[in-house]
Amino acid sequence: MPALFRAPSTLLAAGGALLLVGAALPLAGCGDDGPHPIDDVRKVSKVDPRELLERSHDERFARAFPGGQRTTPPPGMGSGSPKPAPAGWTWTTPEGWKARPKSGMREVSIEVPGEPPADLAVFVLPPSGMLDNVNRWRRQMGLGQVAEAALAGMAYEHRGEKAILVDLRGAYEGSGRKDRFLGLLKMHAGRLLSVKFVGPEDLVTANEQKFHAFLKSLAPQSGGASPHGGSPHGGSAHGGGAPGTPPVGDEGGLKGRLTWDTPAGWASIASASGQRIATFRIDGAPDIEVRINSLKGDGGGLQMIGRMWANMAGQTPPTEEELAALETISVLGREAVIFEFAGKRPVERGGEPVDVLLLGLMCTLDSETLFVRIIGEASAVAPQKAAFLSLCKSLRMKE
Amino acid sequence: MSQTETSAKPRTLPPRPTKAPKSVGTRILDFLGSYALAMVILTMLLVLTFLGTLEQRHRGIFDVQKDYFESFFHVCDTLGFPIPLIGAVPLLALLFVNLTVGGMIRLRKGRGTIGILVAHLGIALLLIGSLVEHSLSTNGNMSLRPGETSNTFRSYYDWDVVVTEFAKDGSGERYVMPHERYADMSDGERVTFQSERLPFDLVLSGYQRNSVPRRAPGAGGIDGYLLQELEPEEKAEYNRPGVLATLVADGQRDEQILLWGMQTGPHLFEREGRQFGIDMVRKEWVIPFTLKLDRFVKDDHPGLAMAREYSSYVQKIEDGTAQSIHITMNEPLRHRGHIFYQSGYDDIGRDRNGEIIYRTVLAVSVNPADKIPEISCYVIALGLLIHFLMKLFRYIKSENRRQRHAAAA
Repeated sequence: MPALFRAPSTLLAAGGALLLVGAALPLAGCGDDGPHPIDDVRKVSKVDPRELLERSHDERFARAFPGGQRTTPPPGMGSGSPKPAPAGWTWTTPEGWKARPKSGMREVSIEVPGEPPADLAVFVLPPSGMLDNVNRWRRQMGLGQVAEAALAGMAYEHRGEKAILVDLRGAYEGSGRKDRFLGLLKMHAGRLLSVKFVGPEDLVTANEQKFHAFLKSLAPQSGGASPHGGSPHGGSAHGGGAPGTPPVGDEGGLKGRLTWDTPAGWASIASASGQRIATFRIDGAPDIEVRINSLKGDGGGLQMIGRMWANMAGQTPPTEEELAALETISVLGREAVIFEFAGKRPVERGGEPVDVLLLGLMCTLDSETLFVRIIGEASAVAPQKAAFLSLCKSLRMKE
Repeated sequence: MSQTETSAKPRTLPPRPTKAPKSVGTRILDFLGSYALAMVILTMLLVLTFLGTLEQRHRGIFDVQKDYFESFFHVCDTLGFPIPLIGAVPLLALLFVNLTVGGMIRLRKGRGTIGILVAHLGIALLLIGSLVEHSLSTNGNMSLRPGETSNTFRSYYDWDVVVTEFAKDGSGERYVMPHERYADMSDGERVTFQSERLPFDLVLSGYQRNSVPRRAPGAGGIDGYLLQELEPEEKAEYNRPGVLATLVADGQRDEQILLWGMQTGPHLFEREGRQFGIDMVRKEWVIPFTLKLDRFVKDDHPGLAMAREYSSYVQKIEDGTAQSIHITMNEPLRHRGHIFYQSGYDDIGRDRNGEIIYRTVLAVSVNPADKIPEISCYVIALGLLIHFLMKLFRYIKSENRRQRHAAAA
């Protein structure tokens, strides 16, 4: 018998030792949970301007939905649909509480000093179920779900309207300490008013009266600015335009709000298409179509539009250098890019390639992008270039 | 008689020299260099490979490779019950020790074992090469359209969270939160990043390796969205990760932002009058030169739209000098520690003549040990050649001797 197999104990020892080593080694890397310094900082000499486009959450996550399209947002939620004018609110900040600037979806943000401080926030949200919200808050506090019947015990009256007042004790978002959560939910003018006040139990309890005083002061705005500085519904801080440029395209889209001077020899025809703002035909050139339309967000971005239009004109997609060198004009107070692609239209059904010319304008606004495009046989489109540019320059918002 | 009796008297044998007890160090060396350990390691590697191969029936190669061959320990349940396994990393490390102690240090040195020694050196070199590759290599891809230039390549699997501060002159500064610092977080764990130059700390939590943003029911979620976890894709490069980023200023939670790998652009925000954007992007590396694609060539099989061969004509631009290079599937570009393999292509449109325009995809590897497997194979082959040739000569010699003896008899 080979010596190896006469020593089963050696084999066992080898196997056992290996198992121990294998099990112990992963533990060696554990335990590093302190803050990490950011040591990788890179200089960028020229930031891609598309990075500076303000995108709504719908636009940012557009690729999450089939075909890259945004789902129809709940009424009043997405930037894509006309927003019902949200109700403004006024309030009085209790003494000793520190009002913070409005951020994200917070209509009101207040810090209640303490160690650690408590946080009060007011949200005005699309309508949704009270029970869902109560259970969401309970989950945040590490508590179990409750049934619909439990809501009866939370009934509250806020400024003459039915509301729900929630009082929860637990550890907020796994804080590991004793927290208290006071929350108010109320439907008002088709929107859900949500007030949450959360922090260390002692601090919240000590400020409970002030919280109720705050609730009492929280009222629908009857007009005029908030007494606490700034509009409670101020627009985006990152408009695409120059400082001082009024927001464009934010409210209800451009359709119906945009106007222009139709060039001589052009005729506007009815536009039924959803995102089409206008369509023109040109006398003597029935195959040429000129259109004005808009898309939400950046409309796919400069590169994608450039590639798409180049492709339509049978051209090679522009490089980044070529995109950066495109001519610009001022439209609606913004810098708009002019594309010009001349090429041969791809052969279709065996026909001869045709010389085509595409002229396009892309103008990125606050929450949508405006496009003007003309395409057709080069010999017919080229004489219309001046008219195309004059149309673009005449674009303006209706008084 | 007496002489006979004397001669019949049993001889007393000289006392056998008693073996000195082995020291602990010697025992450990015996164990580390033993055949038994080698057999156990090789058997475990065999089992690991077998189960790892089975596991690929329903999981992608990237995940299986990570769990079985780049780990220390793994519990396999591919057979329906848990099997604890030591990962390939400690097994190969021990195999290296075993080979060094038993196959080189304690090997009986002589003419007869020189081939074995060389072959063992080759195997040890191969193991060192694996360690270097595992620890130091970087892999990604670079895609180029005709006429496009690039000096970066991107990871297939890793995603960094990047905060960019936008300056008024159009420049920017990117603060990179690397994938490896946060992607291993467990449920409920948070990873904090901070820089003296930023007016906030960034806390990452709830990392999902593959996810999709969904509208939150009711009023929940972050800005109306939740990150829904998805099963990992079989091809790991198709995973779309997501993470919750929390800005913390002065110890207070300031803003929460959901980040998703496929989002269309950064989320913008302003702090202390400074403008920032936060995004989740594929990890990117800069290379010390630039490549420009002149043209991509694809040959199809006759009558089929299936590629027979494809290659890229590129220019390597460095210090203002351009050099034309042809990268094919079997002829990668190797330069300054970077290797560019022709790995794929995309159809991105048509040119003015109706011809399809392709974007080339080059697999990029930075591997300081990329030549080691080849060298190791030569060394092992040389060792085995020496060993078997010596065996052959010895056999021929003994055969000759046997035949001479037979002829003499």
